[in-house]
Amino acid sequence: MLHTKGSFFLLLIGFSLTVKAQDSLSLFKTLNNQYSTERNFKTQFYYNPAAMSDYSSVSFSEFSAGYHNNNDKNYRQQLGSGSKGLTIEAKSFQKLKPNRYVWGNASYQNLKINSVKWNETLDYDRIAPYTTADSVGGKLNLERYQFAGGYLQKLNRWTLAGQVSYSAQLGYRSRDPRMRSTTSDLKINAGLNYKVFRTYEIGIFGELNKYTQNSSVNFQSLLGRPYVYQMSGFGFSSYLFNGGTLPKNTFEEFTYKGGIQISGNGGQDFYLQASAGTGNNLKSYNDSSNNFFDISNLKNENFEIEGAKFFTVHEKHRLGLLVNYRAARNTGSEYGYSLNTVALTQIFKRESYRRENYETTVKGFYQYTKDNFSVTAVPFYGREEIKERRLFPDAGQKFVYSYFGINADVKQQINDRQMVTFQPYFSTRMVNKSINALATTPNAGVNAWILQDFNFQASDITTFGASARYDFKLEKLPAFFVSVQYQSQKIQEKNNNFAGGSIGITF
Amino acid sequence: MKKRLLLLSLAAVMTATFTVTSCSSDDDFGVTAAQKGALTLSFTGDHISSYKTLDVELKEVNTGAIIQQTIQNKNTYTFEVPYGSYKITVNGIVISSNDEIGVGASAQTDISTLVTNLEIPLILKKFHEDFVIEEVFFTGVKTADGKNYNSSRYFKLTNSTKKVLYADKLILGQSEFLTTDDKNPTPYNKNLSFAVKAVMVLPGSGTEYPVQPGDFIVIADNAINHKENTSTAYDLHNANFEFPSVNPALGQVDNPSVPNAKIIYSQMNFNMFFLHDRGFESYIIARFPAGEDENTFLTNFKYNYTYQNSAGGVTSKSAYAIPNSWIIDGVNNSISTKFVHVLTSASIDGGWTSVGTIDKDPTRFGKSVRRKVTGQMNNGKNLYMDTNNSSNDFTRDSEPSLKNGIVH
Repeated sequence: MLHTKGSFFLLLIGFSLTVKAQDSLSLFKTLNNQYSTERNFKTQFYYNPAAMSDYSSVSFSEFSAGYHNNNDKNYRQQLGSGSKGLTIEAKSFQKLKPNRYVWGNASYQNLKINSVKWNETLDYDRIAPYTTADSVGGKLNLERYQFAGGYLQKLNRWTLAGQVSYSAQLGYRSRDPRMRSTTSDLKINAGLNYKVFRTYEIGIFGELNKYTQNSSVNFQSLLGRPYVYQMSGFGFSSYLFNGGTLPKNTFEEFTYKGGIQISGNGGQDFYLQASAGTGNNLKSYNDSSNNFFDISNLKNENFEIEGAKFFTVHEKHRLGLLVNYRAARNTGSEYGYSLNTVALTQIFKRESYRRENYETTVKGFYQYTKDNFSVTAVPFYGREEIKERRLFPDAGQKFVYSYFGINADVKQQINDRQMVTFQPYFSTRMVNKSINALATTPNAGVNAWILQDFNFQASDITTFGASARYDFKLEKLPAFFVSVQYQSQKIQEKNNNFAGGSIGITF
Repeated sequence: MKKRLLLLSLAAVMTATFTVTSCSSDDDFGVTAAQKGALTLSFTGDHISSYKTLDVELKEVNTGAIIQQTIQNKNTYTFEVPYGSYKITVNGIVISSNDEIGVGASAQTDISTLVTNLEIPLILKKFHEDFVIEEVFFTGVKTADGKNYNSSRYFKLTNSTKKVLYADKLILGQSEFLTTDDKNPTPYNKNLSFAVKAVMVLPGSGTEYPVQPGDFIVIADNAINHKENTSTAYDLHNANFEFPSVNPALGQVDNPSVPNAKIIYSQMNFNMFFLHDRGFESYIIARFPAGEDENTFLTNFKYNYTYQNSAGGVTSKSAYAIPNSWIIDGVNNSISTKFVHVLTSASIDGGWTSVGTIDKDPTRFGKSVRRKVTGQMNNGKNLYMDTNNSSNDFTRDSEPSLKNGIVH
């Protein structure tokens, strides 16, 4: 692991130093382009790598290091009570020629996540409800490595682009229960655009994703150990595979996704896109024997559609409207085995779990830009419905949320070599409906956790925060920056606080 | 015009996709979710004129779901159950020759089709005018500072009859298999015999160790005052019998004033009879019938079996099996989160009892399983519940009766 980490840092530093110097622009114009609020507003547009030719008209790079501390007083136990740790990140976008672009990023995170309980696996949102869990848990050490690279080539009316990204995680605990989990996540994206008429382009894009997680839990204490559950939703679990003394799990997932996109003027006028994907996440179990038994399969299906339209009024005013709808459905199948046969033999595979998530978001965009000043406001409204239920035994819950809020961004150049950015934001989640159809399990501790988790999800959340950043440029040196962020989240009369800071260079 | 046409086409494709997604089933899980089958149980038995009550329990081993049903005045019943692998236990009362008689049975079946019929022969519960297992203290204790202490466990057998019994040549058997795991061995028939991994026989020629009505005997793993070693253990110096121990690792010192039982068979090193401290085993007591002794047992009752191991190969193993006709009492032990099946015929014990709830439960130490007291005999001694169903007859997680020493 040490060797891997060393190699990764060399890659990360080398990556950030080998990029070309940027074009010569004023500090404000450079950074206003590099941290374009409009680009952040329409991140989904760039999900098609062939759209990256319109990502920026100039090249830029950034190298940063940051530290954050997130202290949650009200939280979902399976996700922990917040994290603190270091993040190092490098990213770059390079226009090599008018028809050739490359981009990439690499990052490393070293985190300590506090008070994780009822979850001895990573990537909860991806594998839930089929987690491995116990009632003790504790602080989790987590290292994350991620890098990605993309390439785009234009050929007459055609634009062809591809991107490969890879991320890996190592999660571990050095006291009982000694959880250890490694994940690898490989994504290959490709996109092909065709300019059909004037500035109008039509494109198709797709993604292949291979994900693997290997996790285990072991114990060294002779005085006792918690019971390890193979969870199957709402606190229920596999009676047959619970209670392993050295449980090991693998999660294997393969997903694919495809979509179409149409845009005008590189997405600066409008764009409309839709994508759909599906995949399966298979969980297997082993307890110090030679055989892995498949115990569940989580099928995921998703569909997303997004459209946006932008206007420029009197050159300095930019207006936009974005509408997004996404639907996701996870269907879990559980495998049943016979204990009445010579060997453990599979006798059924049963669809027993379903989670549906429907979300509609409408976002507005307004930006006013002058030569050395810009202000942006992004108000938004969203409605989300989450329906989750299982059979054998029956249990379920449903939530309907409304979101609204506003993100603002103010950039002000102080002089040719200094600039400040201030980004306040506010949002609220209101619970319009919550239905508790939970069922009691035989374990009182599990019941308390599931009820607390329901109450968390059935709670309004109000979030406000702000980040401030100061950029300065010295003679013959790249521009440096320092930024700080603070956020407070109020849930059930308790505050979850986040504070972070980072330093870096842009060039 | 061309632009508008293109936009309209794209919008039409997107709308079609959206419609497909949103029209999919909303509240059901599809056809495969309705995986249920009808399980019809038919109960049979010799000389049964009518069936009074039958308490049936179906346990599905994948989900742990338990279905319980009391059937009255009939011998068939149809359950609608989800697909699964079921272990079935039955305890009840039937009428035979105008007498109410206790019966029991255990069975198993997989439900993966729409209709399953299963015939379950009921077995008459056998009650003997002999000793019963009043208590088994198999968990042991931890020392005051939480370290392992491998001694001070015991069996307590009680004479619940109105006559003097003799403990001479009484057999104690430890199950070959565990209640928490079913290896599906071949051959295997618990209605004929009880497979054992260790057998202990008490000394005596026939009338050397009399036990008065209502009185008990204690067979301790080491008959010493364990309190001298650790304050959390018990004083067992005046036990009636003790296990022989020649394992130096256990550090047990033989008490010469307490006769040793004889271990006639064990699969463990040093010929040990060592109780499973997590409580996954069953124990029986038995007597040699006329014409049988330890030599004939060791010669004639070997039990060779095979099972498929976790690697997929076949493991051959050799143990011994005590015929059910020799057995006078038995008790199955398990834990609620791991229980799979009972190891005795329902004629001996159709249920199970426990200490703790999870594997390696840290709270299990210093607790035992004890038979419930139902009243008192004429001589003031306790009368114990005995329906050959330890789920009903025993108190789980009990305080050991010898915590303060052995007092008759």
